[in-house]
Amino acid sequence: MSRTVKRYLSFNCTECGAVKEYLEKMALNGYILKSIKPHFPADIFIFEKDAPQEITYAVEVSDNPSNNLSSLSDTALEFIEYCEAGGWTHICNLGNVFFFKTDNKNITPISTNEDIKYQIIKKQSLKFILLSLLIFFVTLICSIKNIGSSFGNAISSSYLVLTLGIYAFAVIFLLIELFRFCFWNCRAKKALKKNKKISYPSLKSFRKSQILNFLFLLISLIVVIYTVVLMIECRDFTGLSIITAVIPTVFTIANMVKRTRMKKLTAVFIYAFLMIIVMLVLVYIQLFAIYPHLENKESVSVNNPSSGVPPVITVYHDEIPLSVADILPDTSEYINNTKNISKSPFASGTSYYSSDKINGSHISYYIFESEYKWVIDRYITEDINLGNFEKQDCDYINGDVYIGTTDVRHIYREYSEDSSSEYTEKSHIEKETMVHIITNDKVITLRGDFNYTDSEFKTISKKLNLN
Amino acid sequence: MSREQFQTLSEPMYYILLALTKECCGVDIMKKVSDISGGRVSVGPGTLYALLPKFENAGLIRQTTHDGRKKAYIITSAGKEMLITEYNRLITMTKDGEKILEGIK
Repeated sequence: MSRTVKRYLSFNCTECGAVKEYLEKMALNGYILKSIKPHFPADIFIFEKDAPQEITYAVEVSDNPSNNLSSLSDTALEFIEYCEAGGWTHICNLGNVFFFKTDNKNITPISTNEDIKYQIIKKQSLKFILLSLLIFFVTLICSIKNIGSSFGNAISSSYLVLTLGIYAFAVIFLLIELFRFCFWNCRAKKALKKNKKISYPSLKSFRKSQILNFLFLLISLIVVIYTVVLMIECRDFTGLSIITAVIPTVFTIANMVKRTRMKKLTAVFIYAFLMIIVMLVLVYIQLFAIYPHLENKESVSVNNPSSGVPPVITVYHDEIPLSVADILPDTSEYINNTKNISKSPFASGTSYYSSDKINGSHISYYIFESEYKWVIDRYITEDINLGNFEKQDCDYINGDVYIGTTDVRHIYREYSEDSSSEYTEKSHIEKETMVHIITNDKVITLRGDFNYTDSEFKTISKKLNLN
Repeated sequence: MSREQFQTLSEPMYYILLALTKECCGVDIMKKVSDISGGRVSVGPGTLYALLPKFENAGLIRQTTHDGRKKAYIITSAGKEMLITEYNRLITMTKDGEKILEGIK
């Protein structure tokens, strides 16, 4: 049986007291701290099995003891000398956090002045929390701005719901940390004013924060695995190679920086650079790798005219509920039908496109479905309003079904080759009718070459099961 | 930390300055403080380590030798002045206390 036990722990400066308590409990169970391996995202605490002992530990934050982020510069050694002169035995250190132990129960604690200890811990904690918040806010805002600009697209994609959920969780997690820190800071200031002892997070709350950290890492890992699986399915080998090359490299460099002795400024510069790389990769994955594939992943090209095989219309009509041939009678046999499906636990969005390749007539429609009323309402407010559609302007049909039509103008661009083989762009505007059909759990947006007559409406209602 | 922030010295600060009236090595200050106070006052090494640069920046003490990591300090005239002010303040406090408390006894 191995005599060495490893524990992954991550803690902030206010939790040093809880870590000390944790180490003392481990010693009582016969696990004595031997060393700590700096590791990202959680440090590895290495314990050796021995007889149960009563050991007093000290986990101390020293204010800027070194120009180096990692161990044992002259100033760090000087701090250790002071503590060893005071009867403490140095075990190891993690940056500015030093670990000491002693068997002497009556020893003078390393920090005897509450005010000085408070100032050091406040400075170190605030730096870490504000930096983390800034990074996550920037990432969240980028994600919401770029991915969540269309509520319908975001809410109907499992991947986007999951990733936005992760970011929201991370920001909430960090906000809770910030709130806890502010609360602790206020209590500490009050205690100092009254000359009382400052209370720090207990071992119980430290254990809770470890569980939260673990959950956060686990969910992040699931997202990474899900992303990789999506990329494999979409055969996006560029994105896949970027993920498989960049993420392990960033982790390796971050760990190297944590373990190597280098100037603090250099280390901070490297960390900032790595953060920027990770953020760029995240934006790349979401905007250029995953998001376009999500739209095309389940795209079913019912008929591909480039195959040269004339399709039989009736066969393909079954594949999508409503085809251009259902509404417009004079269609040719060359019909191309496609659909894109996107689903999440909250909603589904399916877009259909049906066109006649010979005469150019086409219809497209998007069916947004959700059993949640707030999702439908939000979709109508945020997405449909963008198309100048107001619910109050709708015709009211069959009790539940609202119909509204909007004239939209599309700019079509044609390119013609002139004598000098240069392409010139000719633009013209075509007027098209857009129809929104809203039911309790569905919003259908249709557009195309139709006039929306009663007979067309009957066909649409029948094919899309609106009655 | 400016000198204004040391207007009233805490007990450990007072004893550290007392210990430095004679040149003393940083790590030896803890023992000297304990000796001067007869073991009543003890300064933690972390607190001492954080206080020395603050005293130095406020001009209350200065380094005399810097041999590698070994640093020795001594009190400056400004430090002596502050120590004496604090001593006088404590004497005044004691005398004021005497007037009232002796009557109660």
